[in-house]
Amino acid sequence: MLHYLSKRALSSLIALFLFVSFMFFVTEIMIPGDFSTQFTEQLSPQQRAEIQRALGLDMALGQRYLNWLQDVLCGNLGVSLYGPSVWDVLTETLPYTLLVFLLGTIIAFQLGQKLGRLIAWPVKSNHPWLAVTRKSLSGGIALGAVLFYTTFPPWLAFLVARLASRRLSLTREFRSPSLDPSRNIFTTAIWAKASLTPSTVAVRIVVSFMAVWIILSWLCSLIRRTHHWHPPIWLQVPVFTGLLVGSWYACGFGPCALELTSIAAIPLITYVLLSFGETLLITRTSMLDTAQEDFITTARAKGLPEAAIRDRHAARTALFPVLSRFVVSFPYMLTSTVILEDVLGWPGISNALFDSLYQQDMAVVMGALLLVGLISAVARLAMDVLYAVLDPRIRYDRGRIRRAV
Amino acid sequence: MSGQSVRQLLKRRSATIWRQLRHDGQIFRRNRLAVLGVVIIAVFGILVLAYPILRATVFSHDMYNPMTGFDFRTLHPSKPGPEHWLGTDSLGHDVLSMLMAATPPTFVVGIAAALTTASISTLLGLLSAYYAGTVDAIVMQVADAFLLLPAPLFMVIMGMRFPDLNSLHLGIVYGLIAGLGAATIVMRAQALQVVAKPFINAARVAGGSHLHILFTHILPHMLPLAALQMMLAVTGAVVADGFIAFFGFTHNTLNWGTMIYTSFTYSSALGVATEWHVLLPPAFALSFFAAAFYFVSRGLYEVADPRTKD
Repeated sequence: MLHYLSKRALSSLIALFLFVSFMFFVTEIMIPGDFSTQFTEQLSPQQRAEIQRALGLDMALGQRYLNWLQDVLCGNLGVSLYGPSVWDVLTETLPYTLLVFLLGTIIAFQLGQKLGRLIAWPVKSNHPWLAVTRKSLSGGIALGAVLFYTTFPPWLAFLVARLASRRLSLTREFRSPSLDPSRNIFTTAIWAKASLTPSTVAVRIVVSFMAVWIILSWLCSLIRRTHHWHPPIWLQVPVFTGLLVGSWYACGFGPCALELTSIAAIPLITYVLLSFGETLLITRTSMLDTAQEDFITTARAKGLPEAAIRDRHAARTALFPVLSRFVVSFPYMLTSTVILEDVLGWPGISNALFDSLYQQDMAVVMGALLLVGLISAVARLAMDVLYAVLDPRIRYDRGRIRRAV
Repeated sequence: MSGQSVRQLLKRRSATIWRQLRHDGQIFRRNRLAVLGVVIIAVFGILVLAYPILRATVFSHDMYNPMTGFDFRTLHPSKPGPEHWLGTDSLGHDVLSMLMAATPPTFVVGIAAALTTASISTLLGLLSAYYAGTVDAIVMQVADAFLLLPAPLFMVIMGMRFPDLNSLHLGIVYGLIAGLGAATIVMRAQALQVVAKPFINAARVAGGSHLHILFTHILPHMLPLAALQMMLAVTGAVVADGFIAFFGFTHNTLNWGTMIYTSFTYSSALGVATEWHVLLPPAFALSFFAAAFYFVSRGLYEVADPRTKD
């Protein structure tokens, strides 16, 4: 196991290196001119050459690449041409991206999985009308999931933002997608009083969410083992929310966290709607397959309740196709987050990426791309571990996957 | 071998293939969403075919020109009516004719991406699984690296710098990135399963060359999955193409993404309420187009999945 993991980690490091090198050359070669080009009209050729020399832009491409690589290996991501260091820019923007991406992925995964297993499971019903209703309902949910999954993200963001601002008055103001130049959305009085910056609050929200999630799922499994009772979903969700909000207030950043969440709701909801469909569809397909398996018949013959068969015997097996698809689609989900951020004016990593691309602030662009690659690589590694832990049939032996049947 | 027996062999071969196709068709038809997908694609196909005919007959040249068209008889934007079935946008374009004019480029993006993705991923997956060892290690390492690079993001960066790229180029770029990354990993997994089967050893013992084994024994088993990858690539490429247009990076105005972008821009620039009749058609066209190919891919997945075969 350890051997396999270290091998995977090494391989993802190499992949990350390849990706970053590729992007370095692509962005540098593709983009004509350099940082000084945008000021050409105000500068004499000598001044321009001076700027280029000062910024190190007159060096050969290969030399610049080696310098950059050396700096990154020493932990120095460079300095933005507008002053702050790249590290500061990234740590300021990353929490917002993680808030939407991490939380959204977890919520979408749970939602897709629960719904998928519900609509796939056949229910024997004596009443013909009930069966027909159920069938059309599950068909409708599947159809809706695909439509959400394939919607054009900016358009969905627009719809959600509009609904949220007009009908539910969830947010203070509605921002027309990607057209509002003012990016500062933290202007309400709460932030003036608060001692924390919004990005710190975002980090804390993410950490508390993960902590409460892990504690709660551990508690659930404990209750299931000791009392043979699985807490139903309508109980889990309110308890989870209560614990989460309670922990915010207990740690003293409640109002800020609520305010941030209410702004984050729009990107979060949009992201969840966009990405739960895939999980749902794959869960549905693999549940339909699993329902035919012999061990399900065995479980039924033992007299287990239908919900237990569905959730603990079938759903567990049906999880693997979902996970293996997840590994592949992770970078795409990350991209959709980045694009949603740009559309909704959410101050995440897309700001660093797109704005800097316009300004040819290549240190920031490469830093942001490195971060995107790093998140994908870490997520991929985590998936591998999860896969190995969940499936007892898979043993990792000398770096090779062996399937013991 | 006499001509008679060759003809018989061909006949038997074609009969087998035909039977297989019919069987696959039955599995495909069982999935109602997949059938719906085919119907939606057919509707878009009709739009493509109808547009030149309408341009030649009903749509007058000036008024319905997708670039410069303007109807002087009404104020713009106008609501849907008998003259303009989906109304006109703030620039005076007829929405329906714009929608139809943007359909062929979307097909081009999708099909270019699909063909590029499928051919690259099939070839690389095949070689990687068959030759194993160093080839496999290199291909997988490259695939891992490209997996980190999300194609839509890369396309947006490309679009920012080369606004003159046409649909064909964008489709190929998407296909390259997606094909080298995720698709190759999936195709290799499939090829590994095929390579492990006894009939490959049998073919080798019978003296089959590498090329023969690769292309007559392994490749046919990968085609259903390749078709699935093609469909997924269409969905991804069309949405990514929409992104570029939506952010206003492309000079290519014949695009659903551009239509959405225009509608957003003018409604906020002029401070008027959102023109739903301008916004909805391209938004739904994009969703339905992408969804249709996704539906078909789900149907193909069931065809390719050995568990659904009796």
